[in-house]
Amino acid sequence: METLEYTDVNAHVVARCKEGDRKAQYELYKLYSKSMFNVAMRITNDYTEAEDVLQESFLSAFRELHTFKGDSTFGSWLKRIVINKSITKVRSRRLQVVPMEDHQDFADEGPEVDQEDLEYKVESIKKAIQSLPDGYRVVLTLYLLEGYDHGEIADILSISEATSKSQYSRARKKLLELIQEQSFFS
Amino acid sequence: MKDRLKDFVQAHREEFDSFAPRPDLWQDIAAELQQEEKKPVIPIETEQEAKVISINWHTAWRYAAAVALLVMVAFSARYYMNTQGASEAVATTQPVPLDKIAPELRQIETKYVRVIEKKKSELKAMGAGQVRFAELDSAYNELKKELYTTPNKEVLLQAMSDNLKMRIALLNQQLEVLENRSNVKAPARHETTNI
Repeated sequence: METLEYTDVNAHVVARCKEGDRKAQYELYKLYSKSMFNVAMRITNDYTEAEDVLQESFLSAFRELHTFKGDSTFGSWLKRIVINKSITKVRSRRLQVVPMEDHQDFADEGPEVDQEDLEYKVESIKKAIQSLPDGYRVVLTLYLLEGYDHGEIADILSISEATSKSQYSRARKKLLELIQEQSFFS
Repeated sequence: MKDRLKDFVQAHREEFDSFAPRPDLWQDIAAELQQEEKKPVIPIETEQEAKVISINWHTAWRYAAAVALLVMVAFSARYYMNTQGASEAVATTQPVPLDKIAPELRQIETKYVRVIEKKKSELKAMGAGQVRFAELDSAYNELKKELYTTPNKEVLLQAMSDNLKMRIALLNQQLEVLENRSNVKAPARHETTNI
C-alpha cells in the first residue's frame, strides 16, 4: 500500500531531523512545502502571510520535533501546525469571522442553487473560494480540501460540531452562488 | 445527501494545489535554524542574570563575574581542545556544529591528513623543506564555511575530499621529481616548496 511505504520513508528522515541533520530537514521541506503552502494560502488568502506561516511552521516543527511521537504521519502533524498558525493569522487580522454561534437552524434560507445544473471547474471553484468571507472559507476548505470531518474541524476551531456543520452548509451554498454568478458574468 | 461538490473536489484534489512559495524561502529557514544552533551559551547567561536581578541587586555583580568566568573557561577549554586535535594541513575546525552537520567530515579529514603528513615527512627527509598549499587551503576553508549553509552536503564533501586528494597527488609528484633528481645529483637542501 502506498501510504504505508510513505510513512516508513518519512520515519527514517524524521529520525535524522531529530539529530539536527540539515539535509534531512531540507528533504522534508522539499516534500511538504508546496502542499503546506497551499493549505496556508487557502486559509489566509494572502501570499505574504502564507509564506510567513510556512516559514514559522517549519521552524517550529523542527524545534518541536521531539514532541512528535509518530502516532500520526509527519505530514498530518505538520499540517495541523500550518493550519493552527494560519488560523491565528486570520484571527489576528481582527476581521470579523462570520458569526458562528447564531445558526441553530440547518435549513438554508433562500432558493437552493441547483447543483445538478452547475458544471464544476477547478478554476471557478478556486476563484469562488478566494472570494468567500474568512469564516466560511476556513470551514469549507478544511472540510472539502484538507479532508477533516466536522468533529475534527470543531476541535481545530474550538467550535461545536453542529456549528461546523451549519457553517459548512452555508459556506457551500454561498460558494455555489458565487460559481453561478461567475458563469453568468463570463 | 450526496455532496457532488465534495466528490468533484476530491477527484481533482491535486489541481487545487497550484501555488508555490518563493524558491529561496528554504534559505531563510536554514539560516534561522543555524542561528539557533549557534547560540547555546547566551540564553543560559541571560537567564542567570535575570534570576539574580530579581533576587538582589547588591550581589548581582558576583553572579555576573561567575558567569563570565564560566564562559571564559568554557571557551578556552574548547580552544585548547581544538588546537590539540587539528592538524596544520587543514585549517582549524569548529567541531561542535560541524560534527552535527557532517559527521563524515571528521573521518575524511583524518584519513587523508594522515597520508598527507606521511608524504610531507618523506619529502622533508629527502630535503625538500616546508610544503605549503596556500590556494588549496583557502579553497578548502571556503568549502567548509559553505557546509553550514548548503543543503547539498554531499557535493561539498566530495569537493573537500577531492581537495585533499589533490594534495596527495601533488606530494606524490614532488616525491617523484625529487627521487629522479637524487638519482642524478645530490638534492638541494632546505628550499621551500610552495605549491
